[in-house]
Amino acid sequence: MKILKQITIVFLLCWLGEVISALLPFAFPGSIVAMLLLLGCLSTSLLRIEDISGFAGFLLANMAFFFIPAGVSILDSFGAIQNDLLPILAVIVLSTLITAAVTCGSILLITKLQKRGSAR
Amino acid sequence: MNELLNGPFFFTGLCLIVYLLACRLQRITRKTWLNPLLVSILILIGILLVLRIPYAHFKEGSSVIAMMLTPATCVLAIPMYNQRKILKQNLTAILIGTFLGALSSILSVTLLCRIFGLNELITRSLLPKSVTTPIAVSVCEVSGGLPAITVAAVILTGILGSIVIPLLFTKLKIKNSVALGITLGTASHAMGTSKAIEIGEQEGGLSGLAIGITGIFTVILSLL
Repeated sequence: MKILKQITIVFLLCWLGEVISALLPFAFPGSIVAMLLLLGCLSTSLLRIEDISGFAGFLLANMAFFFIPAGVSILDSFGAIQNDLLPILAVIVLSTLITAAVTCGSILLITKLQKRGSAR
Repeated sequence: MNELLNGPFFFTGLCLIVYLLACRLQRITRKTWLNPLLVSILILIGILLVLRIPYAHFKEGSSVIAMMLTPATCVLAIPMYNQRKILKQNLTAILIGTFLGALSSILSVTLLCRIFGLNELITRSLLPKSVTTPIAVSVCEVSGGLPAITVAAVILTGILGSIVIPLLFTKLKIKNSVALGITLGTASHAMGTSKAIEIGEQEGGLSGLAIGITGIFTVILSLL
């Protein structure tokens, strides 16, 4: 009974997310709308974490499992990438390094500026 | 024979068995690169090819699992909500760091794809690769990429970042736990975060927060 209630709340949020996503004038993923809705409900105390913690905990703890079908679908799209495997790998490696460098660099700069600011 | 290897119970059960074994493999070996999701995907592809099971059968039989992606993304709000104290303490660093990180990820992927002559479809699939899988797949689907490429790219990015980033911090002698936590979460999502949790509580919390905020920034930036 309790778990059914939790599933109902989460599924309702997902459905609302899809409805809002369909009504938006631009393409915005419904699942992200659902996430923002839940964040809003928690922040305004409309929902408490305990109201969904059992079902949500199950989903969060086993997140990776739900991506198996999406991953296996590469079987269907392998033809689209088989000639570009090396360049794709290069893009992944290089852009990961660039992203890490920019993020880290900007935070080091900010903390330095903040320290200088508070020292004065 | 092939008619028996069909249906939701066969395919969902097969996915469960393979995934549980893959999890056990990582627990035993403790190797980051033996990621259970990646290992499961490779084993399942092998099984489908060897037994000559049509992909369409698998897709239909495993649709129950795929359906749970939306609720799984939705409840990501909970870890974000739990980190609100850390967010307030490091607001400027987190917001600017994750925004520039998301921006540099999108710009570098676009630019590099153009340099290497990759087509539009692949570029769209690689764009959201530095954010957590549920958000990345949503962005990919909305922009018309191939989710399978996105999933593979996200996992590779996560493995790479969680190994290379802590190494770079040690080599360059950077001792800034705020920078380390946010960089791990921004550049390599949940896999970076699991590494950050190993390093320390503050790093873990910051990293977890960075995943969600980077994800939201990436969704907004990819609309443009």
